[in-house]
Amino acid sequence: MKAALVAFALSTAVCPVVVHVAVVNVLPRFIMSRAITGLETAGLSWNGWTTAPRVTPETQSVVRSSPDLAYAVCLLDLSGGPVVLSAPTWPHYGSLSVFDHTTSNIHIAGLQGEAGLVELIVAAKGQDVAAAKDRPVVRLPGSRGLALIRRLAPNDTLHAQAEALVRDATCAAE
Amino acid sequence: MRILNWTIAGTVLGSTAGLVSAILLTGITPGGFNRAETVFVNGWFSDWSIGTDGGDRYVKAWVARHGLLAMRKTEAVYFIRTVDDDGEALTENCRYVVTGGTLPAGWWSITLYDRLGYLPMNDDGKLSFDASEVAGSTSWSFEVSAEKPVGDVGWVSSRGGEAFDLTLRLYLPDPALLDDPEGQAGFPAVRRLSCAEGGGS
Repeated sequence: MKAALVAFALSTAVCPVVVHVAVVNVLPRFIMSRAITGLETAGLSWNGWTTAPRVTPETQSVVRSSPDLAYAVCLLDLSGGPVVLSAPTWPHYGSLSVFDHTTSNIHIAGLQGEAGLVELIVAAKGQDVAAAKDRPVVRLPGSRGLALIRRLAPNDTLHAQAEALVRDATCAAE
Repeated sequence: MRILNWTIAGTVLGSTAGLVSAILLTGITPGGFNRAETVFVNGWFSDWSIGTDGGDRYVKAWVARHGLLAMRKTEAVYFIRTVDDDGEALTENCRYVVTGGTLPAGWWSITLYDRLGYLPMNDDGKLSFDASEVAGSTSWSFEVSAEKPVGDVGWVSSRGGEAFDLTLRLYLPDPALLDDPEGQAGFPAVRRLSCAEGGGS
């Protein structure tokens, strides 16, 4: 009986700590994984930009979505090698963000400017990026992530212009 | 056999305790620990942890749950206002005037959401007011009401919003705002003008 009680005491002492630490660490990647699965289910493809319709009462899909911004999303899959990301600049506020599978915002590049192109390479840890040349390289800790373009476009005209610019953006294997 | 049974019982009990404590302490469910880093400026509040990668693993989980893919604070910050200047909850049954001046950011907007955080289902096409509507003026105002006001005045429609709130977005915020948000002056005031009979005090 004594040995049984010791086993019980040990397991009730060790398991809470192990499970607690594991859950706290896994939660962000679980939340990101669910978000990516949701986007995939909504029809978004891997390694390709998808533009979101302008946020209106009819098109809103998440709480507190901003009607000021034009969004484009690319689900990143680096299992086949590094991915090239590019986005044309924009005369108003704009950004190109890269998130890893744990929700961390690994990289952000400003897009505000005239007639330019922001370009970078996203690679997983250890992948060969010799072909990157002088383009910045962003390393993800895993093989999946998400890239997001945001452009300030608070009216229909600007939103249409921002949407058109996504056709000149790249999210594709190197 | 007895040892195995007691070990399984301890493992189940301990694992449950570990799971529940993790969920509560990260604050990812209602009723859990509040990890928000709340700041108040003239009746507007914000969670200053959103737009960061989290100072520790608990805050990281909180931010993942409450601010997933949010813009970095250096790109944009968000403030919410749920009450008027007298502390009364904002409601579709009342008319308000929102007044402000130069705000510490490159660009700003104020958007109306219902109590669940969604844009109200109306076809007025006026659910936000932004910097482009004030043409560089150092003082501005607009009305918030369920019906369009008479005359050439700025307007945000609260029709269908019931108990609503206002979200102030500040894009490319000034460093001084990020360093000392509660030391900022000039955040917009929200003054109640009138209420329909039986709606609001």
